[in-house]
Amino acid sequence: MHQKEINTDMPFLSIKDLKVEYKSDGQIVHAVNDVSLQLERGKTLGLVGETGAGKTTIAKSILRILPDVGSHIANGEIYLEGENLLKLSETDMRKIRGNKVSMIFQDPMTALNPVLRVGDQIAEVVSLHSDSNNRAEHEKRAKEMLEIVGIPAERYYAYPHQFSGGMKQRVVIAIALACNPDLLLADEPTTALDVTIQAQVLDLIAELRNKYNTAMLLITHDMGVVAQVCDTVAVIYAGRIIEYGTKQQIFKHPSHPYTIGLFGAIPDMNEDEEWLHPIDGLPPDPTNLPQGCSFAPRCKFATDACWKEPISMNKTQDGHDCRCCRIEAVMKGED
Amino acid sequence: MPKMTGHAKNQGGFTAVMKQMSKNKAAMLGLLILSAEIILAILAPYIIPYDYSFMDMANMFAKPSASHLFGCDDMGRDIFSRVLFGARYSISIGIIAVAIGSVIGCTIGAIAGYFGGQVDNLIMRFLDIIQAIPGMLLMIVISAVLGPGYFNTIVALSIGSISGMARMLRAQMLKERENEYIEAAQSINCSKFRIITSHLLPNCISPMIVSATMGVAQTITMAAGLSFIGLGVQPPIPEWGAMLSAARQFIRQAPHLVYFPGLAIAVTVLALNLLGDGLRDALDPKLKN
Repeated sequence: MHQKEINTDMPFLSIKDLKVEYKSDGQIVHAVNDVSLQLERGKTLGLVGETGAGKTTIAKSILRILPDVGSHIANGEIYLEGENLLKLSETDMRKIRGNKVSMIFQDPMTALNPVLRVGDQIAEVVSLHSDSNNRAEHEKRAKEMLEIVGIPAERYYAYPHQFSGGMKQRVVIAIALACNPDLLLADEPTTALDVTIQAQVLDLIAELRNKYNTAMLLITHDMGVVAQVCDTVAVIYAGRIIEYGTKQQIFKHPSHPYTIGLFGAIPDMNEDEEWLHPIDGLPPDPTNLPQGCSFAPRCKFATDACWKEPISMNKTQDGHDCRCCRIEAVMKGED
Repeated sequence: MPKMTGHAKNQGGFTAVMKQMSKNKAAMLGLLILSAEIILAILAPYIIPYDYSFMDMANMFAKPSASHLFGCDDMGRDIFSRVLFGARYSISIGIIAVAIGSVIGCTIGAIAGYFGGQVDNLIMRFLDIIQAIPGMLLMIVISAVLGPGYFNTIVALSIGSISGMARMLRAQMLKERENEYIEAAQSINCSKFRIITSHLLPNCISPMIVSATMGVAQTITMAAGLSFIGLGVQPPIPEWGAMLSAARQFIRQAPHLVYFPGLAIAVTVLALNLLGDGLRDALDPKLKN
């Protein structure tokens, strides 16, 4: 590789003003709008948001595996170790995909190829990123990975349908970690699993992350998972980061009305509540986002100012950003 | 965790499939019949008691007997020798034509199904044009242009089977490529070629195998049809279909002229279907126990 613009001052992963659009039926879907975030080595960033908020699109943009037809990255830069991934040639990108950056998929039931043996699927990623053609070596590594994720190596020759959901997800994790990636994109890794398995899988991911000092981007809509695993949190709404801060900041002082609403929607086990507290309304139509704050239509604090122009990020505390123009008033209202 | 038993060993693809199939008696029977037929066809010149084109007018329409196992046809030719020798042509035409048709059809279908969009549109409209011509008519046209003969017949028959295969594989691919494991394959950096060949095709292959084995049977009868109108393999070469169509005018006086080539086709088709079913099951890991 030549002429890399490497800036060592930069954080490990840095996304700047990412904007991704999908075209559908002649309309433009604004899936991701001006998302900027940073992630340090060994840290975990939680991307929290409703379904359709653009979380998965961000992850796929990093790997550049958005569908060829109908999607494009309109703007922005994604720097990994100071290198802009969006400017890399496909050949250079190949060295990164699955090797430096890898992804855990949401649904283990469909993320494994049903006609290939699980071990071969792990060995595949190893062989794709290895210089040697020694199959036995790749197989050995795959068996090692199986053991690491807690599956006996002799299950190498089993097919995905012979595994339970939790075991399949372990295989998916093994595939993602087989090349010791520096960055792991975990797209709702536990959503398809039941709660007991969820805890096991999260522990496993955390353990492996600590062992290899991997940075992780965890996509989820589950605040419990965030609390367990993440260091920093970005709350996404309609393709925009609306609140960004450390886990403590977000959990102790949620500032944006949407984040407050999210926490409000979690039922309190200590009180015998009859009604849940949802956030009224639905996310805006991504083909036709409001001109001002995208949350304004659902926000009970919205004023005329909120509708007029896009809201910029306000820093409230050290590193705690929030995209709300009435932030002070809202905070006071909280107290 | 349950211990894996017996067959969960590391086996190459072929041994694994054979081992799996050996449990299926019907498939093994099919394989046995087919291999016997192929061996007989290869050794035919050394086995046949008479030359397949030797005419013995004294034995016209002779009934099956010790000297003529299957009897003789309207020109006194030994039917046993003709059926045995005809296996060389019929089976090879059927299998080769379907193989060529499947390979080309699958390539086209895979490209159309995986890439979609304009590529798909272009290919499919072209296949529409081909399919607008009735299959038999298309083959007649192609063999009329190329002229009669063994290889031309194969070419004509294989062109006829391309569009059906392409269409079927495309439909399968469209369904399979939406699965998350394809995305997962992209994320670990599989090339497009690798995704198509080692991830998508194995998932789409089952209906293709069944349709190909059925296709061989159909192709053998199609070849007979071509011979019948004088375009396929030319007499006196004893192609089964040609024998059948030549014998049909004597079906009342000498039905054994029809029985034996007909039986040969039926047995081959049956063997192929049994084998095809077994192969499909053996290739599907979900049916392993």
